Amino acid sequence: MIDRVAVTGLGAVSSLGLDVESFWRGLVDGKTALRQHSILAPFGFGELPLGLVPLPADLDEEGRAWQCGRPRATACAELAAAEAMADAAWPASSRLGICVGTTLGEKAPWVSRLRGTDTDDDGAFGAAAPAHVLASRYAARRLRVVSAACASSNAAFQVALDWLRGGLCDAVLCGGVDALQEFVVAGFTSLRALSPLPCRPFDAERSGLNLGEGAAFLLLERESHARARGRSIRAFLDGVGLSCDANHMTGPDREGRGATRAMSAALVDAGRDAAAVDFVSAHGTATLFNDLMESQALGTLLGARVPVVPINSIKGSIGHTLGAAGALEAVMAVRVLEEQLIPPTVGHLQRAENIKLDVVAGDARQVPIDCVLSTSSGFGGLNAAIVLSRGPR
Amino acid sequence: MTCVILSAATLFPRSGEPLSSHIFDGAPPGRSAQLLRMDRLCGLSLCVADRVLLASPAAGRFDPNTTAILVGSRYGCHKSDEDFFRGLLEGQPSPRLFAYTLPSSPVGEVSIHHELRGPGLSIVSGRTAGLEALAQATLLLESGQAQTCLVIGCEAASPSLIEHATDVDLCDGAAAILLTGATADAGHGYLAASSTNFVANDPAAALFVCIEELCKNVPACRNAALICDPQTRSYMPSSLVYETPPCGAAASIAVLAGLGTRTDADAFVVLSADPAGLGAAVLWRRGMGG
Repeated sequence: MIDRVAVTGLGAVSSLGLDVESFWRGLVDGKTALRQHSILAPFGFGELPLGLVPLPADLDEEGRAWQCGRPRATACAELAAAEAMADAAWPASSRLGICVGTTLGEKAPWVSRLRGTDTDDDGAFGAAAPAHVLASRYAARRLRVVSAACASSNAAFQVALDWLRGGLCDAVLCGGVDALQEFVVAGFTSLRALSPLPCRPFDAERSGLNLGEGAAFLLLERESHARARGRSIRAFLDGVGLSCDANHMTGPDREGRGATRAMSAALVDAGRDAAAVDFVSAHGTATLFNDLMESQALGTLLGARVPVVPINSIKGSIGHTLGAAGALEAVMAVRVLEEQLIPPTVGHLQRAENIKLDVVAGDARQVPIDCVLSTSSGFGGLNAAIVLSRGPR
Repeated sequence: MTCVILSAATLFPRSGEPLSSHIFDGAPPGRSAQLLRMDRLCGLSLCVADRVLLASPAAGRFDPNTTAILVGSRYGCHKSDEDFFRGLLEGQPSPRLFAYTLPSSPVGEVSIHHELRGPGLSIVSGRTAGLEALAQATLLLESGQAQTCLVIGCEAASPSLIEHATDVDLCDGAAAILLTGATADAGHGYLAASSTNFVANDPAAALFVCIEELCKNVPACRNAALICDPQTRSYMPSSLVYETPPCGAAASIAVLAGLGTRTDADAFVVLSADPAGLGAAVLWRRGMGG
């Protein structure tokens, strides 16, 4: 009998709130946390809609996190990881692996040093810094930090599946984190990729993305292990697929061939075919090229079913959270499977003519869902997709 | 799973030295101009990728559609981050440079220039990232998600890294290995097993766990010599040292790349450690032509 990989714990920190429930309720209610932040005006970003995490005041008073190099990414990761570990009631004595996907890791202390700002935190910086904190806190036996641009946390699930299937760990705390930084907002501004208005995924009037930040973690363990310790299984992570476009550093393959390969590989890994997909959590950044690329890729994958398989994007609610995006969408997908309810795509009003997808918009949609495909793509033409299935009823 | 090393290469340019003088003889025309358009980390990665992918006997022995790219780097794109941010402070943020402010940029550039379309990701856990990338490659080969894996270890030094990092003499470097799970002549040896572990702030303990794991799974490990780069040796004084420049996660790949030329043993356990508490080890065995 195949020992599937079970999801037994969830944690999420986003601009909608500091836990899974506020994230999920916000999504289902069609809320958006994207807004202008006057505290960012000194950096030139006061007019941009951004999805900032409402960290507790001691971490984020009056924008000091930006000005003084406080480690926001680590704070987000710690909160989300703690929620997932508590949700799973993970016993400290077991063999835990931690795998974190990120594009930036912790940048704040380093940026402050380069800027010459008085910093009140001399903490560690770099892509691995938040993961090192988590690994020490939870006495992890294995640790890996993965980066695949905006597909980072979906790529991290590849490591988690490999470790669990290979018997290298009893459980893996797997997810992603990225915090907004002057550095990254300025970068996307220089690329002219940001919309000055709240983003509109898959919409005829879409004009670019909004940036967000956050962290999310799933506690994954083999089904037999979860059952042996009496934990309820919230969902199954059945497959992961990765691919490279081999096309362009900042733009996707226009026909979505790389994304199709990643999604197909994830389904093969899950032992499913495209006919089994009941819902797609799309990357849906609201850029002209990404959304069209995804439409093409899903058209190739789903064939004649493409107009009837519901999809959504949560970027209109929380912005594009970069390396955390796949993990936050995985948390959403687990809740979708539990509630049989798809949150709407905030910002989507009128589908673009050349996009042939069934975009859930307006209100949340109740439909039977057994299998979710969640996909991410990023700079460098990197793609990663995962397949999640409904847990035992 | 035993993996075959089809080819291997290393590159250690001097600080600031143009990479154009290190272009592989068989590289495609125009490589020099292409290198000028990308950042140092991607340039280093592409130069070693050229050597392992285009060198005989590897050339033509892999399918680009099922070839994965795994990059291991301790500091990733930090140099490009710094270059971009200094431009931002001067009021001139460069969109070209921003495209390279991701640790996974080398995966993208190598995939584009060699049309490799299999799985791709970077590992940036610490100094062990090179051997971790190798370990991940063996898992991808074992699961069938890839038929061939290009594993690259690379580091690009920067002023702030040299000022703040514990590797105070960090230098530029890259090394690459082309692995396959298929039966093939192993001119550069075999990887017989790998292990990665974490013990918070105790890399020596993590290394011991790795060695224990290898010995448990592959009894031949007990007869293998321990070998590591100079920076790992402080955590495992009983091991041999393979002299490499202090190039972070690239160093352990460079050790592996060079083992085929050593004549003092038929099997080595290659070690790598990170001060945060990471340990990694792989068992290398000599191939037919090694």
